[in-house]
Amino acid sequence: MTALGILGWALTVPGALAGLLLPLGIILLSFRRRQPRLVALGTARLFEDREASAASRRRWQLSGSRWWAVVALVLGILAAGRPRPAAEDQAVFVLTVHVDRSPSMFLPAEPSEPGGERRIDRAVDAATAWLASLDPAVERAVVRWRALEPGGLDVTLDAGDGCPAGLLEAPSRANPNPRWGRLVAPGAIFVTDEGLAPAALRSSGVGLFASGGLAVPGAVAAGSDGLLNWSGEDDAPLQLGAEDEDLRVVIGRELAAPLRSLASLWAEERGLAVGGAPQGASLTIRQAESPADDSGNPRSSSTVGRDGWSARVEVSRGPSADGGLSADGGPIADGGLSADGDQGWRPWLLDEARQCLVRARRGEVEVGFSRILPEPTSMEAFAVSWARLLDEHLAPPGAVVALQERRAAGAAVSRAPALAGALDPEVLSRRARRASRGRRAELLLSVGAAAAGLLSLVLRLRGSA
Amino acid sequence: MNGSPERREVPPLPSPEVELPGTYLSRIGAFATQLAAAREREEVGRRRTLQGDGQEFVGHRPYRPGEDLRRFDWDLLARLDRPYVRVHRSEAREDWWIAVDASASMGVGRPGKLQSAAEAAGASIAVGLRLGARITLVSSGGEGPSRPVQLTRTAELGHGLTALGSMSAGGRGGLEDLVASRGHRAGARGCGRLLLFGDFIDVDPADVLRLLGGRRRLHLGQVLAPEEWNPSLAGIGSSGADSFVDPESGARRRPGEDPRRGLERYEQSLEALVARWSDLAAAHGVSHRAWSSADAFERFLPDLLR
Repeated sequence: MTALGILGWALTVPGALAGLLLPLGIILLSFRRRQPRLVALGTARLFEDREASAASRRRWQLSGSRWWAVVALVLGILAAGRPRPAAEDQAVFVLTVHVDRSPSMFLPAEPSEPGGERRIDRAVDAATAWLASLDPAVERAVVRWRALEPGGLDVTLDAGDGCPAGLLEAPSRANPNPRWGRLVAPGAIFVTDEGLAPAALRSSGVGLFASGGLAVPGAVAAGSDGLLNWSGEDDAPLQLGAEDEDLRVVIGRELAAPLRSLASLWAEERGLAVGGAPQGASLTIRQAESPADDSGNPRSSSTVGRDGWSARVEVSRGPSADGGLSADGGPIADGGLSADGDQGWRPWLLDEARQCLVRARRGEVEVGFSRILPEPTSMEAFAVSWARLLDEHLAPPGAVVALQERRAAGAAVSRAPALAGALDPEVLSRRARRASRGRRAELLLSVGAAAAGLLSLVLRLRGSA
Repeated sequence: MNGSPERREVPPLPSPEVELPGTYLSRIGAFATQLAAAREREEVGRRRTLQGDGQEFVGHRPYRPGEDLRRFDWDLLARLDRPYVRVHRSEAREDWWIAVDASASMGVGRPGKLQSAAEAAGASIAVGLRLGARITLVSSGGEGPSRPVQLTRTAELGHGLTALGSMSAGGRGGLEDLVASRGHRAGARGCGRLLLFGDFIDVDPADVLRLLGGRRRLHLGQVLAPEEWNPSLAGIGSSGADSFVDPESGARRRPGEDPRRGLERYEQSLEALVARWSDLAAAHGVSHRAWSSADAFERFLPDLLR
């Protein structure tokens, strides 16, 4: 084995080496001082070779046939051991850690310690502890840390580097729960708070590090009268809590005048404060950034409408290459957050050319036109339609977490992924090449063993003839 | 037999004893009758070897044209009306000295060399007694040369066969002990015919030739075992013999690193040994035959006794 190791080879079936005892036994038997077979011959003196001199030259005898038999056995046993080139490099596994950053992950792991360890901290700690336990000599891994949110963090680090700090910071907007089924892949590790569907995940070989956690009481909704609190018990009625800070709306100054007036009226009606910085606002209504003025691209007009109203608007070019606002904000993340795309934008108003002129996401509404010429055909319908849009995207205050997120997440789960399928493709390729070399070596050894065995047989037959 | 310092343990000899089968007596009887009749037929005008030309009347035989009419028996012609001649032999009865090598080397072979030599010697005794010879049977080997056995009449053939049957191959003393010994030479001196049976491997030809003298005839029967003629019969190498042992000295020899070449050299040496005796015999008017112990005596003995 050592000799093979020096030569850079190893046996797939090392137990086959036990068979070497057989040729070893043959060799040892050859060393055994055996009783020579003597034949009395009256004419013995006519032979020239005296046995005494021959004996002094050779203390043991390994006949040609036996020698080749030993060779055949050794080669055959090595072939049976299925030799393969020893690993020339350390195994490199590619692991992808998908970190759930839905609101529940940022709830305290222990409801009694609001400022203490969060569910995400506990789950990430479990994952990093397992990653750190990998033996770099044989399980060297690179880890791709991915935040499951539109435009979220996506970095690749060594296994021992730990989790990127950015993943532990709460996102500015609430993220939906990931669609784990779409993330199942070799080397995938899910970091979340719930145990998910154990049987399906276990059979897929993905890793799962779930923090678990008890139900966390608190605000689950906000209204004009204040926050609605959940006691932490299922089926318990929500209770109106103390009024929290005012909800604030930021209305862009460059918005078309009718729209700007409507937004102000809507805010006033809802009791929302208007103005201030976009950060921390429950809703920001703004004009999409338009490079048209700077680049000299001409503005165009288009007729748009929905919900019973229509209007001719002056289109300002949005961020998308084809002139409109990006309807989905880019490709859908492979994590499948939802159908609303990478940035979470959803189209709300399209022009005749199916270009998006208004898009919205939680806490934000972006408008791609700058003027309405003239006023909408039905001002009432226009007001109701836009008020519904703004209502839908009004973000609750930070303390509000959906009831579903606050529910108990069960027990903690720590399950390592199946590493076998997570090998780096390059490593797999090298291994395939080594396997091919091994098969060739196995074939050569088998052929050599057969040839040596045949030679041994021929010598044996010739010797006995 | 020189005392070799390399003497070591010798494996058991394959055929040290002599066993004369029940059919042997009838075989030598028929052989002696056949050989004696042949000699009688060749007696007139031919080489006279076994049959003497003395005056002792032996009997009659049919006349053949051209024979000496002085031997014609006119009385018998008158009585039987058929031509017969009288057959005589020397009045001085011929003495035969038959020596058998019973040293250890004669125990080699299957059948053994001693067995073959004894059968040939027994047949020779039968022929000699049939021809009226006085026979002295001696053997070597064992503790030393045996006491001579004297045989004078056909009826004593059984004594001779008993002596032969009691022989056992062993010891280092071979024909050399018999021919080099002054005492034995003296015993053989008065004999007209000396028959030596052995393997003639360690016999000094000069000692053998010293036995010649006057009209004495010498017959050398050289017997070798089949595996001595062809050692590969014993097998060589991993499946056969590792070494060949001289049964008398215990010396061990091998065919060498190259068994085939060693065998070739052995065969050349053996051929030279047999040829040497054959040439020596031809040069001195000695009868010599070499055979394998597997051969029946009827095959070679007529030529040897000619």
